[in-house]
Amino acid sequence: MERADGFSQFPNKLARTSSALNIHPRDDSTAPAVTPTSATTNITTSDNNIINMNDINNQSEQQKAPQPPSCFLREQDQYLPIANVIRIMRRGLPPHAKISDDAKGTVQECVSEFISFITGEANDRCHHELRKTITAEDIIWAMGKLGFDNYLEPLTLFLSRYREGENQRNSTRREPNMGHRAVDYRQVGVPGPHESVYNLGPHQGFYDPSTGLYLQGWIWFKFWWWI
Amino acid sequence: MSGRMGPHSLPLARIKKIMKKSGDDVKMISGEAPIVFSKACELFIQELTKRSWMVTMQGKRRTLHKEDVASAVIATDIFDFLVNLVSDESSNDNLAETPSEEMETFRS
Repeated sequence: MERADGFSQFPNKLARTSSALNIHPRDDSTAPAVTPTSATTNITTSDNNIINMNDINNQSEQQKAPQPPSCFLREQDQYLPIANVIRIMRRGLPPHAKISDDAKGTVQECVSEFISFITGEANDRCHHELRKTITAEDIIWAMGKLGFDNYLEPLTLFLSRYREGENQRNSTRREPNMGHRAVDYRQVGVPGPHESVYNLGPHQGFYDPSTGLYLQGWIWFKFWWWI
Repeated sequence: MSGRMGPHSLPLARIKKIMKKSGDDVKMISGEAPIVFSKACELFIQELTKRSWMVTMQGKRRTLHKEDVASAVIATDIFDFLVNLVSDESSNDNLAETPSEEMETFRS
């Protein structure tokens, strides 16, 4: 499998420049590769400037493909890592099964499309309900709306177990109630008091110690922070 | 954030980036949303792969090809949002079939 080794000399500089042309091929040999010179790493202006610099550099650089459009900037950020995708693909296949490189790439693209598709629907719901933050419940709701009904139960279970683990971690630490942690009692599909804060400690409210679960998964802890 | 619940199969920061790219008006994303997506993407990849593999087996082959993925997408209603993606790829690839793929098909 070929890789654009010309990138190896610019790893850190390219990573720090937010708008530098930073094309990395997906892990197959068919994607185009563009190698900018060191001069381009300091350019932080618009895409037009970057494209112009690349035209200048075309003569001297080992450019292997035509100039890609600006929407393919930082292509590695558009997809999940192919190694992870392949690992998950292999889980469901018999040991003797083989997967062609183009199939791996296609599934990798499909996953990104899936994320965008669901996020778009979840985002629409947030807008409709005048909320700014896409939550886990929005994601699960969007899956149900878009036909992925068989994902609802495993995802809800996964989320409740995750929250359980977080709650156990937090109660062990005995943290005081933080301003940005809100207990939000609402059912999926019904607008709730997102902005109001119920300052309940970890052992109050609807926590059921016998099962270690919150009431039927209707109770959510919400953690809001800039990531 | 990514290390809070132990290792996930998929990188949460990358999921978040893809979520943000889905629309200009995607601003704030709760910490749990990428975590739910990491599980959802696993389920999605497994379902798509299994459906594709069924097509491969129908063709009595052992190598899962892109065309099998395309067939699975077309045959599954909830994968309608992928139809353009797989049909664009297959139309591009018809122009440049590699000999190895043909040999593989011939062998099986």
